[in-house]
Amino acid sequence: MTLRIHSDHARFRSIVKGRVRENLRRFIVQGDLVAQHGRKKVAIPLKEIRLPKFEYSWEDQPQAGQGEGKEGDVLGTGKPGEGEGAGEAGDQPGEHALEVELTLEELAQILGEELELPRIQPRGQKVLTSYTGRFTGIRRTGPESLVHFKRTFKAALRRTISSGEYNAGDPLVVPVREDKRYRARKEVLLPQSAAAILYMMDVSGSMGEEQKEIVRIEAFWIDLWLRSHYKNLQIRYITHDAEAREVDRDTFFKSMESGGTLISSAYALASDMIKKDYPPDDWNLYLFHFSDGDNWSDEDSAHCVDLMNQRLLPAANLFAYGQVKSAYGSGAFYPILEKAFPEQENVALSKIDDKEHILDSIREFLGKGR
Amino acid sequence: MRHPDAQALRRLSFIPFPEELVQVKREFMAYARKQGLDPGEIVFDFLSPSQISEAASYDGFPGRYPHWRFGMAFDQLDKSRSWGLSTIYEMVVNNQPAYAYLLEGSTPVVVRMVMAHVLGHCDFFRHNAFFLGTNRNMLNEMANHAARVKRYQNRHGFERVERFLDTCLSLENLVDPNLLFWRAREKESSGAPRDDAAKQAEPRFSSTYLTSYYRTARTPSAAAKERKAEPESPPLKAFPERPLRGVLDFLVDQAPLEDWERDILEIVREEAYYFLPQRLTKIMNEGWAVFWHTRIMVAKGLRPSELVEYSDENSKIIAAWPGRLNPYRLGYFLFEDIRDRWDKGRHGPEWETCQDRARRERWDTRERHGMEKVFEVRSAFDDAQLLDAFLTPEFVIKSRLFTFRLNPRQGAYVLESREFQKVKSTLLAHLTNGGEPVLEVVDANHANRSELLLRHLHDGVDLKVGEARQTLHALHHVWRRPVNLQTVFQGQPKTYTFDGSRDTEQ
Repeated sequence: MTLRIHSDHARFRSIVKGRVRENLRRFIVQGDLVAQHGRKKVAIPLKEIRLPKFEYSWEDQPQAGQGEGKEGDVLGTGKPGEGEGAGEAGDQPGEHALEVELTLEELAQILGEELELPRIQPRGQKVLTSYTGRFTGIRRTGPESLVHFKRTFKAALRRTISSGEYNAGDPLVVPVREDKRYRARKEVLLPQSAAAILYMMDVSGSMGEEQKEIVRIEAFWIDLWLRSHYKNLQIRYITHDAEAREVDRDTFFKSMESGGTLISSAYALASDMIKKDYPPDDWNLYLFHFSDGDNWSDEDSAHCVDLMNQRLLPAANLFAYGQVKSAYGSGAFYPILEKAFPEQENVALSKIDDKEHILDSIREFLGKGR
Repeated sequence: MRHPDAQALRRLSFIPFPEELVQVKREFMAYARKQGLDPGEIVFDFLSPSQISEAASYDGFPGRYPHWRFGMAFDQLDKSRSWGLSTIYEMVVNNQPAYAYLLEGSTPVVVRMVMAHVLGHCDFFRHNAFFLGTNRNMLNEMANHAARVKRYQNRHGFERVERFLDTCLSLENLVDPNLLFWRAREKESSGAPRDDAAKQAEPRFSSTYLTSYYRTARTPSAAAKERKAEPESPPLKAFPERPLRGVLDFLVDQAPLEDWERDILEIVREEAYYFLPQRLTKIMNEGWAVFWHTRIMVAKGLRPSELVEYSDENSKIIAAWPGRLNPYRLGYFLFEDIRDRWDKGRHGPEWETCQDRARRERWDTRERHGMEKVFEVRSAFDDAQLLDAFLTPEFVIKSRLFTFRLNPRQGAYVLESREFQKVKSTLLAHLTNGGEPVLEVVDANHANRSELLLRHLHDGVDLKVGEARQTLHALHHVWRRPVNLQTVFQGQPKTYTFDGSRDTEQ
């Protein structure tokens, strides 16, 4: 049912989205939206939106209440925003936080607007059947509620003329059962592009909690953006130290190894997965690799560049390497890639020094529009 | 007779008002009139839950002007409704006829209870002194406001009009409750032709501002007395000659606005004065409605089998809310207390001075004026006056009233006191002037450069300084010259100024 309030509500929502956009950097740095991973909607705490007024500041004033208890009893905690315990004759002092719910699509849109991200042009189309909701087809059977009057009448007219019943002087046309035409839903083949993200991360000893947190936050926003472009999105995770293995999401962000680092192991595993599951003609492939830039040897780094050139880059829409700064990492891998792929279209490199840089890094990765 | 807008409102609802409830309404009305109530004409209508949320977001007027804050109210109301945190059973619109929305799907007992409750509200709207001046054709008036705002949006741009509305709404609480009575008088006199002598006695001013000045100047108020005592009386030709409490009225008359802007400010003022009596009489109004729905239901509204359900529903209404004051409960029990005291003659000097506890407990002069008294109170008082006159130490003890405050060290609200004086003064502090600070226009030509000077009549509670500064920005947007606010902050006299680009304070 349409209510008049819906237009005012929509206006309010757009004001809220504006606020979210203004505060996007803060939300990203705090990372508290990431905790809601896996839900269809995210709840975003905003400062209450209100018009300023000349008002008493009641907070530190006594108020009246009613009920049991004796002097000195605690009635409720005074965290602002809960409005608990406070209030007088229907009045509710105290700062009220406003919790707004946005769908992931809305959030992605805000991210795109704020970072001025170009929309992605999907590559390779996997054709999938999907039904459109439109009643554009015609059938000879169906419910009476879907009778197509004009077509039915035409059919009846045609029948009466061809059978000679039609009398131009008394043009009475009565449709019979066989004349009835019904609207029907038409099945339409719609191309739907499929995409896969392969996340790779260095979990060797030099990657600490802080570095992983950065990766976790960044991955949330990357997922969000890509999900808004591809209905069919698969995400897989690879961790590596000296050897690589595929893991589930939880393990990916939590596991902690010691030991050395062979980046090529991850790249080799990724290329095997691509070969097996993601033929490039059908899939839009996104490869994200995060590490602190440490690698076992220069030979291995050279091997990585080879693997990328021969196997990863031809298959991928985008290969993104994010180098998270850590106290122990040498950061040597970044310049190697920078040198090897100075002008490569589908390679994005980014240095993420701290949480503040996540937003810029997302822009560097996704700003290519691939 | 149906309201002209009834047709439009009818469209809201898909359920015709059932015949059996028409019968209930007739019976309730007859009974209520016999008891001395005068609810006037009421149109009942059922709304779906989300329609009720919509109506509540618009303060009962589905045709209000477009503004996002109604959308925000809806967001919160409808969310809390769909999560099952709150249910709005009823809304009444103070109009002639009154409109009452009932919640579709309520049980028959609840519907009847709400109808009885509504009779109480409608009687109150018609007979409480603070409501005498309200526009009884507000449904149409609001629709008219909406049409004007939409026209300005089309002509001057949606965002520009919205921004100006935001500005005006920041100032909407700067109204003068005393003017309610002048409005009532004006309404009365405009209705009936006045005799010539009365006409002669009224000074005639051409400017609307002077008329409102004239009204205020003759309004006896504590502020006026205080003003007389002030040594530095304003210099000659001060403007306004005496401080004016109706800041909003002053701005409508005097601010250098474009026509459409003045009209929007006027709309905001009209609506502020329409809602002001409801803000001032929340406890009275709800108390009166509960007082009567209990009586009507017990007398006319229940089959014996429904008694338990009714009692259950009723107890939800008058339950003590944890840590928050329930105006339904407080108002209802105060009215019952008044009735009881005036039935038993528990008032007057003899009662007040009687210290003998046993005698007080047995006290009954068989005066039996309780009902008369409650009707008198409903006609003449607002919340602050009600509590000032009728809150007794016995009542405070009996209804377990207390004061509480934030203890910053514990970060928690702590029960502070159950002492009568403390409870009473706390209640009054929150209810006087509807809980809003009192500001007045002191000088419209401050520093001889047409700056605006407002004064906050500080009564012990500071203003929120951050908010006040933001509000000064809004005020500047309307006045277009530097604006100043005199107040007291943390014991120090302060003047906050906004000159259009910079905030300063002295």
